[in-house]
Amino acid sequence: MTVLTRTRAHPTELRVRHAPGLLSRRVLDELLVMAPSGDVVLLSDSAAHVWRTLEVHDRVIDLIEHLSRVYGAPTSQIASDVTALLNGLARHGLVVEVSAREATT
Amino acid sequence: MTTDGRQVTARLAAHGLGPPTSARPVSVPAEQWPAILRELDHERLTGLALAAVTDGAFDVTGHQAAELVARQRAWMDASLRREHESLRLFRGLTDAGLPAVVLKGPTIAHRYYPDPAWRPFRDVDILVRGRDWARACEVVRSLGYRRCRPEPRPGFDVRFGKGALHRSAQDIELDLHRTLVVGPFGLWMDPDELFESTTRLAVGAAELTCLDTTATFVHVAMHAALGASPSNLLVLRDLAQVGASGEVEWDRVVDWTRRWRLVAVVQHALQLVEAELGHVPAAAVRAIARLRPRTGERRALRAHLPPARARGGPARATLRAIRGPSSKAAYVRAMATPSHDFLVARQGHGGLSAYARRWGHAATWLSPVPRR
Repeated sequence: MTVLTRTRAHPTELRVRHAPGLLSRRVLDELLVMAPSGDVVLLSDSAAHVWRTLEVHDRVIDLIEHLSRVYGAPTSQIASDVTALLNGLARHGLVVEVSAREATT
Repeated sequence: MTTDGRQVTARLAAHGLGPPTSARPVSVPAEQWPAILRELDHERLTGLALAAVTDGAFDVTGHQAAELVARQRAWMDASLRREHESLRLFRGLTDAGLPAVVLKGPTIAHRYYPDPAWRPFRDVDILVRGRDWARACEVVRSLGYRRCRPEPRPGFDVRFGKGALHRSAQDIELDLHRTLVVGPFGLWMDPDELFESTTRLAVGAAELTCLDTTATFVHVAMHAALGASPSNLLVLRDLAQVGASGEVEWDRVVDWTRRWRLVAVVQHALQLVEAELGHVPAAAVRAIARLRPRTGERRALRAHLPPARARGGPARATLRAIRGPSSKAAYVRAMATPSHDFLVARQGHGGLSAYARRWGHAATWLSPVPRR
């Protein structure tokens, strides 16, 4: 990960959550989310699924394992896709790292 | 749009309101699809149509589904940008110490529909107090909006107008209101009372002030009865949706409709909902049907409907509603001889020829109405 790795933790050890206060709309299984920049970002159905799963699993490793089970794909492949997606979302300001303090509370 | 086409869009506009009127899903032959899609897009019904597809009530081909999804994506993109602007403008106005109420669009989408995606919107509507009008116009200008057309004469907005349309550099329209509708019904009501009938709505990380459900019902009814003709189906759906929310205080609706001379308007709006969507909130009918509109209200409503509407009906009804000869004279003067800037904004040029064209158009109002 390039954007989400200001800490020394391995990317999969990170915790990530939606940036607060985002405006969004569903279109079937897709999702449109307004980024802080004012751009509207379209998440495909699979990206939107990851987005929704983040509400339940904020630890990236948990997210990857969950998606690996759902899609029946190896964790290495899922990890690569998920970290790329999370990086893209982070670049748009749509997700942020959960700080260590937040994670323990 | 053929009658069949209107029936299709009306069925989709009523989707989810009650038991389906037909057990068979709606389907559209390929040759009619472009016109139906255009109408769904124009009426902002793409969200409801997609919900009907998901629920099995709208049978579409893969090609039709793809086109519908593309239109809905575009509407959601537009709605998100307008929602963002609603919040920014609301914050700007309230930070300047001006009470503001966000109307329609985002407030109805979030509060009354199962999914806000069912209810796209194309502009931003904000109500401010008449006494704050000039300052509110300054604030929205400082936030990047320019007024589309000047007032016909100085002071017209506050005495006779509904508000003013503004536009941003990003082409987002803001309808800044000082009352809910143009014409006699906007003059007869007391918009300041609406500021006592508000609630807070959380949108994203922000909060805004919007009308409470009872005031929203009255506003939507006015919009449905006095807006476009034929009525916009989504506005009729709004009325059915708000009316069925279980949150409308019908005693207050009755009080306002009597005092603000809106009985004929609200009754007409409910008739339109029943005629087009086939589902009208029973509680609304029970509360409103027994009321008797005054003659003046009925006449003012007729002035807003075809054929009188296109023949100066609303302007003449407004003149009748204005109290006092000096105010009437000021209104006539503003209408007959508006400022040069107003004419340029409206007609593209000013001068005597612009006046002549304006008066010539008004003269056509005097000729007999063609019989149907």
